[in-house]
Amino acid sequence: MITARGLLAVAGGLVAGYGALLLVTTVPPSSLLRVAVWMATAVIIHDMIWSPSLLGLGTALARVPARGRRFLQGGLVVAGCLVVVAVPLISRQGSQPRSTTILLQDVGRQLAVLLALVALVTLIAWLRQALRDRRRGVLSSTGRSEDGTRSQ
Amino acid sequence: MIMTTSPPKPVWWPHFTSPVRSTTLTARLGRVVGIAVALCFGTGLLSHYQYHPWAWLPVPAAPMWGYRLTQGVHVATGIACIPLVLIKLWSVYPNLFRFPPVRSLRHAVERLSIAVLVGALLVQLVTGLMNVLLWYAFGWDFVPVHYALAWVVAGSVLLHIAVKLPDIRYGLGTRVADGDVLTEVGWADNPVSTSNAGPQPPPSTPALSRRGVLLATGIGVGAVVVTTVGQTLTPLRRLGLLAIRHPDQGPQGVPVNRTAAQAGVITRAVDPGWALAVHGPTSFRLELSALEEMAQHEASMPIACVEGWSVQADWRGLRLLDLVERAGGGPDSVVEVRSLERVGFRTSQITGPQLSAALLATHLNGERLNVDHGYPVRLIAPNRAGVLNTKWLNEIEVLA
Repeated sequence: MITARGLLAVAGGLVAGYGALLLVTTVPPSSLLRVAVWMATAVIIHDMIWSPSLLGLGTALARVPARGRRFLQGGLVVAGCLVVVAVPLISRQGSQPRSTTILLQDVGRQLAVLLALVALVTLIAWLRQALRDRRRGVLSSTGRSEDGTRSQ
Repeated sequence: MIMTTSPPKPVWWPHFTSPVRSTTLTARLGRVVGIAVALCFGTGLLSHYQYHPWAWLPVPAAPMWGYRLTQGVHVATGIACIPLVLIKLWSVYPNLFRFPPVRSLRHAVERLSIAVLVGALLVQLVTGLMNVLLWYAFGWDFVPVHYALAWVVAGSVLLHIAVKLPDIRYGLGTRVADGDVLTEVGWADNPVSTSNAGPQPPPSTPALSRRGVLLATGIGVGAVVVTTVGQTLTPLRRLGLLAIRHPDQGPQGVPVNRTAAQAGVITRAVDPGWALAVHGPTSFRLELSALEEMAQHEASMPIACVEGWSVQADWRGLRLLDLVERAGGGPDSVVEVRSLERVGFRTSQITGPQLSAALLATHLNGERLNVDHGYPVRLIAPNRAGVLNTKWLNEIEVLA
């Protein structure tokens, strides 16, 4: 494993170093500064805004009983995947003349359709589980009574 | 026992309790991210080669759908990586709160390298999507930065794998439900971790399980791919609810990236006095009527844009090689075609197998070429990046 790690590390260092060399030799300094600011901003937004927001959402969800919460969480993960890709598209809708044939559809409406579909499938999955539990006589338990954890 | 003595954490230090996060989950998410990044990097290099081929290895003309496939994969994996990377980063967020934040120089370098990896990868994904959306708010020349950052990301991923190899081996070698809970306390410091206390009973995940996270991620990322990839995988175009372009929407059933109005060429393109100048050992000019008379060759070829859309189309026109030979060149010549356009991708060079297969197209899908598709004549060649199929031609030069 030590050899594998060493080889990977050397290869990684060379490849990343080549990228850094390309940056300083092919990109003007004013642009480089912008790239650096964007990289730092991306890390800050992710670590200080996005992730704490997810933690907050998870804490808020902890009030929902655990057996139902799993479907809510799963549905939110799927919905989140669609939303993070769709939002930039929506923000660019109408930014170009129609003749450039970009984003001709109403992305906001399409996203609403997709999210409704996700909600429907999530609800069906939850109902199936609830019916099955009922048949087996499992009492629905609250998340907090099973253990004190919050899960995000 | 490899317990290390760390100073006690302050009471206000964040503490993570979710039993869902685990190295077993992260390793599985990371494996998919790694494969996606590798695919995206490899296809990106192929795309870069379209613009800067080595003289001794011209871009092949077959398979004609080569660029269509590789660039479709490039944009699809890049878009898929956006939610995928966010979920992968969610799974390791507690690592940001290791205490003490820095314990040695090596540790500091390691953390800094992760910051570079995350920053470069996020900027790469975000600006890649922005470029597809014709959104240049980042304010730098996209191509050189995207190309250089790709190497930085690829190298940082390799370094990251090297650093995390023991964790990856543990994570992939352990059943996903059985793995240690990942919190802000590292393995070595955690008295109840598998490495210190031996195998542990699997932690209880009363709500969404780790397997559930993987399933939801698969469905979510799969939904993103299925609803966007229709812009190039034409059988799925009806499912393209989030597709940025639709391959059949546009004049003559083909999308347009840059219109004649945007390029500022309309007046000159529809000028009846237009003629094509062919420069070479025996230069000549071709009037519009003569050119249209010669346009007898038909071919079905895809047009595949660097921005990820593509569509197969029927083209009719003149063989470029016929004109090159008449000007004194041959199949081994390097040929430059030039556009009426004064800025942007106004020229491109073509050589080797692509030169022999190229058409100067006058017709698209049975109709005289629309001005937004390059009237009076444009270049089209197989396995060639869309933007290199120069539109609104008025000059051809046999360079060598």
